[in-house]
This record gives sequence, C-alpha cells and structure tokens, in this order.
Amino acid sequence: MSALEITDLTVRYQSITALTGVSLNVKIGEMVAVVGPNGSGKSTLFKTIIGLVRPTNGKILIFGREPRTVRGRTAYVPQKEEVYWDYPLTVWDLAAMGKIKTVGILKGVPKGDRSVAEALRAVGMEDLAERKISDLSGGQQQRAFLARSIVQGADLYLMDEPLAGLDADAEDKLFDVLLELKRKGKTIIMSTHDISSTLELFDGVLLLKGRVIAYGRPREVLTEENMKLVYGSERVAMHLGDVRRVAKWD
Amino acid sequence: MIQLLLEPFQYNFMQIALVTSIVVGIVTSILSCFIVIRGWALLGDAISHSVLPGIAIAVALNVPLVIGALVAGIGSSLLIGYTETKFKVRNDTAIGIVLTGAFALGLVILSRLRPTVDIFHVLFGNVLGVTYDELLFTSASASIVLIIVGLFMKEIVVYTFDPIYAKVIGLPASLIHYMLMSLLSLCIVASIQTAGIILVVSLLIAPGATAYMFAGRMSQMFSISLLAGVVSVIIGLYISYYFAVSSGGAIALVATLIFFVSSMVKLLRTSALR
Repeated sequence: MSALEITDLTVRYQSITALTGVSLNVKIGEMVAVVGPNGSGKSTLFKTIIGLVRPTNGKILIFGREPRTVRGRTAYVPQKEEVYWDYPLTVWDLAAMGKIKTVGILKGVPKGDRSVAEALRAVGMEDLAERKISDLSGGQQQRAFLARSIVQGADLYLMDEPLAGLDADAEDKLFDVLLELKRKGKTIIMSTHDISSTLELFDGVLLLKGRVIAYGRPREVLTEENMKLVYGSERVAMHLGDVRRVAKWD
Repeated sequence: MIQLLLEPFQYNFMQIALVTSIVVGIVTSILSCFIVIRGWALLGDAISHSVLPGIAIAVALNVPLVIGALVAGIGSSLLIGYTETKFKVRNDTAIGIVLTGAFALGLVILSRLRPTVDIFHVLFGNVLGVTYDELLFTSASASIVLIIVGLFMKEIVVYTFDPIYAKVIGLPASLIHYMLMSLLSLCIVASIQTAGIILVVSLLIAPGATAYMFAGRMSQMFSISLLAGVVSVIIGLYISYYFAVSSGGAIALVATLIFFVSSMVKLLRTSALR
C-alpha cells in the first residue's frame, strides 16, 4: 500500500492554474523531497494534501483512504510564517498539542505524560522542554514541531520548507531525527527550494514546476537537463555539478 | 490613607461599582491575552464599535440589549471575514470599513431614539450608575465567557497558535473562531456600564500587551494580564470617585499608563543588562 497516492491532480485558483495533472506515488517508509523554485506549486501541493485547498480535479489517497478519514495519521509541520511565534508557549506545550485529539475534550495533558517526554527525547529536546519556543533556533523549532507530530502518532509527515534558514549543523540534527523516523516506518515528504547534497538522503525527488518535471531517485532526477527546465539558469546548473560531486554521483 | 481607601465604599453604589469593575477587569484581561498574541487589536476595536447598531436596534425593537449586541458582534466579524476573502481587500481595510460603517449605523439609529438611551454612557461607560441587576447581568455574562474559555482552553490555544494544524488534525477551526468572536462580543456587552464600548478596547488590549512583555508561558501571561486589568479598574474607579471624572476614561487611562510604565521598566532593565 502507498502512504500517498495522487492521481492527475489539478488545482486552479480563479484564473491561475497552480498545479496541472500531478500524479505521485509515495510508498510507506519513504522519504521524498518536493523540489522546485518559488511559485512552482510546492505549497499548493502540500495544502491540497492536507485538505486546506480543494483540488479542481484529481484524487488523493492517504494510506489508501480518503484524507478526511485518516486525519490523525497525517502531520503537518508548517512554514515558519504560518504560526504565531508571539505565543508564550514552551517546547513541552507545543509537543503536548499532539495529544489534543486523544486526551479528550475538557481535559488537559498531564505534566508527566510519557508520550510527550519520549517524543522530546526522540528529537533531542528533552533538556529544552521548558524553553520558550520563540527563543529557539530555527532547527530547534523544526524539531519541536516534529515532537508534536510524534506525540500525535502520525505516520505521514509533511514538512513545508523545513530547511529554510538552517545551517549545516541544524540540518544534520534534523535529518538524524527524520532518518530515525523513517527507520520506524514513517513516511516523510518535505518541500525545499534548495538544491543541496542533502537530497542524496532521500529515496525520491519530485521536481515540480506547476506540473511534474521528473520523479525518481535523486541522482536520476537531478540532472543538468532537468534543472534547466525548472530553473532555467546556468548558475543553478553549475551549482548542480558541485552537488553531484559531493554526493559522489559523477 | 486607609480612611481614604475605604471611604468610597460606605456607599452602596460604590460597592456595586467596585464589584462590577473587577468582574469586567477579569474577563477583559483574559480575552486580552489572545487578542494581543494574535494581533486582533483592530478586530477587537471593530467588534466593539459594531456592537453599537446592535444595541440601537435592540432598543428600537425592545428586545434585550445583549441579543442585539451579540448578533451585531458576530455579524460584523463574519462580514469582515467575507469582505476580506470575497472582495479581496486587505484585512485592515475590511476592518476599517466595517468598523466605521457599523458605528455610523448605530449612531444614526440612536440619534433618532435619543431620549431613551444615553449614548454617552453606552460609548464611554458610567460605572457609578450601575444597578444591582446590571451587576448580576455583567457577572453572568463574564462567567459564561470565563467558563467557556476555561473549558476549551487547549482547543483555543491550538487554533490561535497554529490554525492550519488545527484544521489538519480535524478541529472545528471556524467554529472555534466564531466562538471566540461571540465571547468577545459578550465580553464587550458585559463591559458597557463600566468602560463603554469604545474604552473597553483599552482593557482588551493593554493588560495583555503588558503581560506579553514579561510572560515566559501562558499561565504567567494570564496572571500578569489579570493583575494589570484588575489593578487598572480599581485605581480607575478611585480616580473617578475622587476627581469626579468619567469612570471609563479613568480606567482606560490607568490601563494605558500601566502599559507604558511597564514598557519603560522593561526597556531600562534590558538596557541595564547590556
């Protein structure tokens, strides 16, 4: 069974067509990157998968079922601008939000909750549990959101541009967590506009520009030819040479 | 000094005024936390202005004010949302248009009914004239707001912090949104006598803004906001009594002063640390 199966998805906003005929099949336990320049429809694709945007045409199945019926199994890690960082919430508060649907209405999550503590340990944030989320670094924020998804018990992780503004060290720590999740059979789909050597860690890369340009293994998708189709610039193509060399594909 | 503090409360009307003000201080300062965090200050202002036509129509039709106010409050938040998404104008433009339009409508209706409603009191409050029945009404409305916020605290926090997540995991996001708007309207109605619909906005913003500067977590945010709100209404009430000035004005002024004084303290403290 596939974790995510998209068939011929088209999304139109009034006069703008954001996505045309996108089909995608992600197997359980895979880690897939959605790559494309700004405005290529990455966010629209994510928003359609999580049900915020209604597709004009096409079908989406999550774990073989209608997305509506498997809500608890999908986790979404928002882009940085999509949440209100002013909130005086601690890392623990954020992680505990993952229990909101299971703890029951009118009840709070007990401070000693095991699943929250375990999730914080899994993302390496147990020592920062009482830290205010706005005081965290970008990488720590991403991992705190992952802790919330772990608490939620999600099987499909959708992350919109989690690598934006992260330094190499923060990226490594994030991938440590993601690879561990993948080892446990979780499916991870992440969007990024950055072509970097981290892409070799993925099972698949979806190259998007309003439609699917290519989908497959990273080394097969990230070719000079495809890059020119998507980015249309020599500079990106040159940069790709470095990426392929670091990833030892050439 | 103690004499000076106790003297006003030998009068029954002052006792009622004190209790009413404290109730209003509590309920506004709790909602204030969400308003400040979410950047809903202008929205709060709009809803409070929009309550005016609701009150005016309720007076004209001889139905309870609270019903008119609630319908107008919720209606205006719906209209703002609709104007913003359907007519594709910016959020602050939508708020500005609905705010002034609704307020104008209320003013036009009330100017026809002038003899029965004192518009000055609706706008700016008159806590020294609160009757026992009005105290009961204020307390009941405030209790409803506080109980609902208390019961659904975690849902409200999740929705206001990360609305997309709330939708993704299947929380009724719009229901929570319009529930908050209704609570806000109810809170404004409860505060009419104390602060008036214009000046209540200061109690809906200043305590939360003061708390936001110092709070490291939600519980601290609520406690500091409560402290700021309740202190504002009590000091405001004394000022109103001793200097025979508008109660709503005095309360709003104290709330504003508390905000600026604590901002200065915070500023001096952080620059001293540097």
